[in-house]
Amino acid sequence: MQKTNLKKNWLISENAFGALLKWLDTEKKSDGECYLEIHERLVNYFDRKNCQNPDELADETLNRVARRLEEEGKLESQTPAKYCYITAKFVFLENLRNKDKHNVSIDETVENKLFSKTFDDKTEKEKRLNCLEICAETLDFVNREIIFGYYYGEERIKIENRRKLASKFELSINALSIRACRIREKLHICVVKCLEKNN
Amino acid sequence: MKTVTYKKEDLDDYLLGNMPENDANLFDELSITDDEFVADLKSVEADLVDAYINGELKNPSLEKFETNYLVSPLRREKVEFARALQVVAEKNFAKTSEVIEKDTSRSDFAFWDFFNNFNSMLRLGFAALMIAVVGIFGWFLVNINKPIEQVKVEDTPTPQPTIQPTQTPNTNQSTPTATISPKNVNAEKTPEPKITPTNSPTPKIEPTVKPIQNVPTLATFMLLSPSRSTSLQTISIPTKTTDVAFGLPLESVDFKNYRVFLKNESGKILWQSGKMTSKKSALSVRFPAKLLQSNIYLLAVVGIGEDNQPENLGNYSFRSVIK
Repeated sequence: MQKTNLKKNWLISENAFGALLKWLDTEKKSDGECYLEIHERLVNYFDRKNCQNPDELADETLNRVARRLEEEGKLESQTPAKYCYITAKFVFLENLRNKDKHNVSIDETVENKLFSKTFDDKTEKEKRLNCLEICAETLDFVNREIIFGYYYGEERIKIENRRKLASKFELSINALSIRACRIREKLHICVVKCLEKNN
Repeated sequence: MKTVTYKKEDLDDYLLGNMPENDANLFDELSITDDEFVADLKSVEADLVDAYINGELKNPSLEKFETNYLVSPLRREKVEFARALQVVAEKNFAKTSEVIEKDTSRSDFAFWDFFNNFNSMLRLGFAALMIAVVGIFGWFLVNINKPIEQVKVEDTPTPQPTIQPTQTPNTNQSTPTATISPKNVNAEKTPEPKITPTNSPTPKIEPTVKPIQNVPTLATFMLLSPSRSTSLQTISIPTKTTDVAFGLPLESVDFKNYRVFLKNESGKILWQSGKMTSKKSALSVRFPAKLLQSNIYLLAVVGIGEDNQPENLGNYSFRSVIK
């Protein structure tokens, strides 16, 4: 990855990291939860911008915020999330300038299109299924019922299942979808970790 | 920040890279700063990926998905995960769907779904039939109120106030006629069943039956807690019973919520309760009597703590006898 030349050798200290965690904390979430949440949002932001290394760019963004926080002592002009977004925009633009080839070429697009049909080979697929089964076992019965009920079936069947689930758990369809999505996310993280462990 | 309104289609466009730059910039910002937007975006993204793997995406969305969305390894990973989730959900859905289907207490939509599936002529016919049924029922109600003293409910089991451990079952369990007054049908009080601890190998529990005309007939039972029950408890359910209710004594009430599962002998879940709270030392559950045949069943009680982790609190097994 090509990082910005400015202060590129700056390494985040334990104190600076602690200050960043504290600054990101909200009343609702604490103990690093907010850090993980904003990191994930940044990764997705850079990924949607088709950056090839979204994880590293998210790290770079938060490093810069931590550095600024250490220099200034406090950052009160914006909310933490907004400040992170503004910093991320600069990181993205710099990354774009430094690496023109980040723009996906037509050839790469075609390649991706072809690849998309069969990008998991059979063994990988089996591993993933095994991991998913294992991860699903860790969910409690209610969450299992929601995730399997919510994502099973196609079109009309799926809609019917969702209505029944929402009624059963006394949730609105919107609340149910958000809950199902959270469980899905949790499962996905578990599966990714499981695959990493097995590879 | 000003309030931004958006539709699902806008989020689809954003995810597919199909949105004008200015709008996309605004969504970029929201995707980091707005919790609600992030939750909506994730949910729409999951649906979009599912639509792709189910072949539900049509052009131009399909093309955009393949040329824009699938460019990223991270997003391809999401697609692969969704494929795996579909396989596992399909495999596991059968188990959970039985529970959903059989949870008759929450089948609010069933009637209207059934009705909506008719074509218009059949709907008219069905509506006419319903009006006729309501009319007959109304006539019946009007007439039933006149000779109150003469109304008799035939073949309704007599309330059995006590539970008799028995070694000579079924010999004197006739079901004499019960006379009830429609005026105070609902006010009729029946005593709670009493359990006499027994050394008998097959304690028999007779239900308290509330005979009510044209409404569900309920049989209630109080089971012994698993730690106190030394043998299989037997319950007798009259054939005309529509609902059964069980009282399940708890050893402690340490949990935030409880759930009860009815399972057959092979462990298949036939019914499950909703989330319940209990400040008393017993849980009470009710389900359709048709779920029970003359067979062995168990009611599994699960406690759900603050951390949402379920813990099995005990299995209340019993033999049901339909008479």
